[in-house]
Amino acid sequence: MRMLSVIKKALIMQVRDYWALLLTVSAAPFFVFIYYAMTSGGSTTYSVHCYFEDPVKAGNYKEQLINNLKGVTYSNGKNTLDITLTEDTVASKQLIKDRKADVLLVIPEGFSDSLKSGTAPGFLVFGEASNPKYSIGLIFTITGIEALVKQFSGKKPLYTFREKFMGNSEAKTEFEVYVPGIFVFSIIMLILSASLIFIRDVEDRTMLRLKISRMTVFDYLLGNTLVQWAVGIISFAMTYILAIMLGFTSQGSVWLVLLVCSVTILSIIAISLILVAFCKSAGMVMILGNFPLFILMFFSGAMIPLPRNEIIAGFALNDLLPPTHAVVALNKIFTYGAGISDISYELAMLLILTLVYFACGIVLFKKSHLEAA
Amino acid sequence: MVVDNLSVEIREGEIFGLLGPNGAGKTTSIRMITGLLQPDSGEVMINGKRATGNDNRLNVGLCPQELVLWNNLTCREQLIFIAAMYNVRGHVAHHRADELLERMHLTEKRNRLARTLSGGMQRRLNILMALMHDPGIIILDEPEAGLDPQSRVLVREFILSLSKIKTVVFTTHNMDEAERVCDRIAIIDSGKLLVTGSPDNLKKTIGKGDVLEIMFSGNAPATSELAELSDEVKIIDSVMYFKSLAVIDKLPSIIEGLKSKDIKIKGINLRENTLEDVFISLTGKKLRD
Repeated sequence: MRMLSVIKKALIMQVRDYWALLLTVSAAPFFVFIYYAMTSGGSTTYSVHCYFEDPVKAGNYKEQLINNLKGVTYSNGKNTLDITLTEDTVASKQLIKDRKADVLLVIPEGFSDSLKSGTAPGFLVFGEASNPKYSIGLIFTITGIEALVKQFSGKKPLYTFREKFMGNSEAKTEFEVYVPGIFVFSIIMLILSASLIFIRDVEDRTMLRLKISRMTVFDYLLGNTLVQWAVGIISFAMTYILAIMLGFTSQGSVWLVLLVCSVTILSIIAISLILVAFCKSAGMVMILGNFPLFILMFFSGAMIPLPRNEIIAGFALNDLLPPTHAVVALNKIFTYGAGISDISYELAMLLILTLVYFACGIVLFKKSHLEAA
Repeated sequence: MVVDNLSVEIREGEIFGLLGPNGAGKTTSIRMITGLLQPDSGEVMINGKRATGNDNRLNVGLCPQELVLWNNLTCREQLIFIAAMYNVRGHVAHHRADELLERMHLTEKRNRLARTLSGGMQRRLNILMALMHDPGIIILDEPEAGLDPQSRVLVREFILSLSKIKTVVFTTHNMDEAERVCDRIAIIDSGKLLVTGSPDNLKKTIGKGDVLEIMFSGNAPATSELAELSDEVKIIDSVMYFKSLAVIDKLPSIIEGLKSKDIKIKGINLRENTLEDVFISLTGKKLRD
């Protein structure tokens, strides 16, 4: 009965603290929508500027090359390269600097002659190595050029390779590639709402009343945790439904996704407890909370892919962050249609980390707020 | 050391006041009674049993000095919530919440959020929170602090209504309030118990005494002639000042004495020895020093 009352009270207070609730549940769907609007829901295309040093001499080969480059497509038929014919390399280089273009391909004067004589034409390529789209765009560009060279030279290639994309990764639009990160982000955002619900009792000193009552730490923490879990699930569900409506597809079971998210939500609530142990007011939560929030956002791979720097026995530092495992598990489910056995390692790590963080959170929270009440 | 060898016996059904200046150890004592603080030595006994067990301590209701309310819950919601934390059944809690809100004149505000109430109303609600689990012992830490006059009267009447039904322990700075409400008081200073007793008894036995002012007409007698009537006598203009502990008991003999000296009495004023006087006499300082 006590726990039900704690749940009811936490629910009422959560609803009445509607700005925090609104921020928590709407931030991730909002980002999904913004991202969709930015990518138009399409696949990633690479902007390639082509400059012919001698367009007249290139003749029909010019058109052939452009057509070949335009013919590089994804398996769903969508164009991979966005080809622009340029007559001004300086302007194209400036666009590369501005990241409005990815590759500048300079076709040499003797291009048509080389093709006719079967000698290798020397292409010149400009691009920014630190731009990840440059290297991928160049690979696709080379694919288009190789097809043309093979066609006109009649020479058999020294090697062939077939590309087999794993899972449904090739069919993914740019929007779909980044959406799983936003799902995890929707859960990470819970850190503020969960911390606020705990800190309110500290700030209002109501912890004192609870401490002298029959209420146990278990009643208090579980009751509040369940409400925050529900908030997290609502936030995730809203994000997921919106993403599906905008074209996101998953290969795996939605229930498995829900399981991963549920455990991740619990781990975030546990981290919130640790945060609250170091805070005395909602204001402090909003300031100090940025620290774990940004760590979880940027170092778990939720927002940007991170290099894996293993320290001990295959463990990297960011393996200590529960969302790291959630990102991997969700990717396996969405892209490969993974089942529970495929993500058992990630699930186990999530559970272990959740328990560890909860244990730390309870000890610290008890010490700083319950015993001190 | 905040509290030093403090030993007080509080009787069932009485209203017991704990008086002392800031830092005297009142709140610390309360925290020890409620179990929020563990004494280094000694123990708290409730109904003859050690109050270390949680169940025994649950018979205590605490109204802390500061407002301890859930700002985003309504008056009724928080009363019912705190009742649930003591395992009070739902229908009992609802009934009790309505009854208590009525008694504190808060029925109209029952569905208002605590943060929207006036300071006085919040204070009254703060007191009610201590009563929802129907404890036998109620501890009120400075309950009248920050109250408007109307709320002060309400709270005083409410505390008096608990007399004989509940044991009430309350701390205060307000001597008038203590005199009006308490059956017995304990005065503590620097963590030590100075004295315990009923306000009347303390006023009769400690302090400089009551002051009896008698306005008279005619020639003033010499003060030496009146010395036998009281501990201290002064005459200024046409007023005689008799100062003594329990001077009211001496009033008949004083009037007889003045009559025998043919002094015509025009009026009488009595300023009683106050608890403030008792406190000053015991500590050499005012309560708010």
